[in-house]
Amino acid sequence: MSKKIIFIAFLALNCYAASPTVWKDGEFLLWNYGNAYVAPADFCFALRYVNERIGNPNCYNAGDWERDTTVALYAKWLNANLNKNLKPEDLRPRNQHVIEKMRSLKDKNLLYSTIRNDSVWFLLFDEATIDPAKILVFPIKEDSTKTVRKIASKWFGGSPQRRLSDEERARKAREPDAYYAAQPKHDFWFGLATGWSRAKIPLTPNSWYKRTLDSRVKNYQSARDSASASIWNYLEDSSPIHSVYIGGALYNFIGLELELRRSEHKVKIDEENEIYNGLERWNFSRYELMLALEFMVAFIPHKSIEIKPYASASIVYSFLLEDMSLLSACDYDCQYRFKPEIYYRGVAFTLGLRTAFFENYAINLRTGIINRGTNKQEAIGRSTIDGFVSAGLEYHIRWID
Amino acid sequence: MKNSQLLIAFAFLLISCSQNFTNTHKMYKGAPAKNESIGFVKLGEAFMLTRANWFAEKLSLNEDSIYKDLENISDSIIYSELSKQWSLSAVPANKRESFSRETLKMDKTIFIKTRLPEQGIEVANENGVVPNYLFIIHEYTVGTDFEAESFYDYTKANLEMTQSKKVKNLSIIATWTLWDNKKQIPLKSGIASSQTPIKNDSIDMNLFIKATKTVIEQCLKKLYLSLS
Repeated sequence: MSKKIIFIAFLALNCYAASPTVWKDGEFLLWNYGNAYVAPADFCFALRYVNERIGNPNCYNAGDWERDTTVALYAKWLNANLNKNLKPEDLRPRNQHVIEKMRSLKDKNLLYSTIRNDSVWFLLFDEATIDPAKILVFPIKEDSTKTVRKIASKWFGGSPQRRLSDEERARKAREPDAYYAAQPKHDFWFGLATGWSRAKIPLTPNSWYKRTLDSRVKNYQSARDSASASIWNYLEDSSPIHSVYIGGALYNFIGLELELRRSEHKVKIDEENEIYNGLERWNFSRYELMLALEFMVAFIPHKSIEIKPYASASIVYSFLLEDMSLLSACDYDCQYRFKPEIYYRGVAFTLGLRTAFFENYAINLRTGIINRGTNKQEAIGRSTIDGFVSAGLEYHIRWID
Repeated sequence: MKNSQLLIAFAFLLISCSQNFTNTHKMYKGAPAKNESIGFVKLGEAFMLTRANWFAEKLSLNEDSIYKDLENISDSIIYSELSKQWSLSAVPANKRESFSRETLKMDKTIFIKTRLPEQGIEVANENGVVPNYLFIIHEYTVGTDFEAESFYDYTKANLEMTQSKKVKNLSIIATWTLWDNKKQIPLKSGIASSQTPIKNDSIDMNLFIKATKTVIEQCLKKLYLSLS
């Protein structure tokens, strides 16, 4: 009984935290020094018994290792030196040839076993380290089937991974490390966005807009304060916006973005005025070309997610294209029809949050405020302000120089 | 006069004792017992002599054979010194050729180059008997006025030192390992050195023998030092 307890303590002592990688359809080399304790077929059976997901493991005797004289000397040395007081690093091979052989194991599992006095030792080697990765000891009297199942469940009970091809292994070896990931990247993107725009900015008093929004198109000449009039004196301000854009950024810090934005606005005609009865439709399409200078900060909470808040200032050129159709022939070229300027010029300020997934795909949420106008005296739309929110989908191309 | 010489020797002993340049294996259970069979691996290429011409002149030896002569003398003194401790046998120097080179760490900044037998191979002595332990000297440097630190402490190596024309001490530095020949593990390794004062710029064979004995005494002292 006491012996059993000692062996349990022994097992606990020898069990290290990280368990080895379990490969689906893995290869297991059984390297025996002295009499073989486990037959390859039995070991494979035990693997399949304890881990159903392990696939079709391949177990065979490591004849290549047993026949190699230098390697056999190391096997003999291990047998002579195995001791529970020794750590794996005390058991590492000294001979260069043995070390090279360990390194060439690739994803194979090498299981050394030897019988010493009244116990049987199992050492697991892999290519990552030349020390034994795992060590287990069992009393020789224990049923070997039981022993093998214990080894299988302790070391190979985890969820298996697909074995990699040589190319994949090579690629994995070249995979960027944490330092590389932290290095700022250059970025090019294009995207599509949709959103809403309106004249009233949230959290501002209604009185600022009331006069503008309530005004109706009756008579161009009679429009009040026409010299400084906002476009929203004439058009419905609230409208969906759609945009396409391309952009680029250096070092995840500074960037430029060119955006074309479109929205449709109805003319706010005075329904009571009979003169508009002959109108079927009178809309304006607004196209805005924006060139933004962007500043951003990147956070990488997970290796496949990047969160980038940014702020930008843009130069805006705004064009209004008229779309009018009539029910009957009327003359609207009189004082009742207004003509906006050919273009308006202005600036926009934007705050945004760009969240990129898997390097290339991003969602871009942004909000901002735009003012555009003209210097011409007595022109329509000397200063037109509106705010917007939008959401976009982007594709990113990134590189490090 | 003799007392003062002893005092100086004792002072040097203290100095060399204060730096305990050793490396002990977990399985080291203390120095081998009195009747234990130990093989002394002869110096061979471990023997290094600096200022060969100076030694040849002072010891009245032929310049062409000074290396071989002093190596043989050292071998026999070391052999007789170690024989006092254990049941000693000699291992031919040419066995060193099959040993593998390795670096062993003594301290944070102190490393020695070692030549140790392969894992799994028991080394036989010249009579074909396998001793339980081996006493291996990796590097045995004979010269004048040098310190062990400037050889094995990389932070102190390559420092420029003023070289006085007048020779003060005969210096010997030895790096050694007690090797478990049955299990092939380095039980204990260390650096030992001796500084033997030279009077009037003249040495004789007795002084050389005395210096050799002192360095072996140092090795044994470190070997027997209690495990702390």
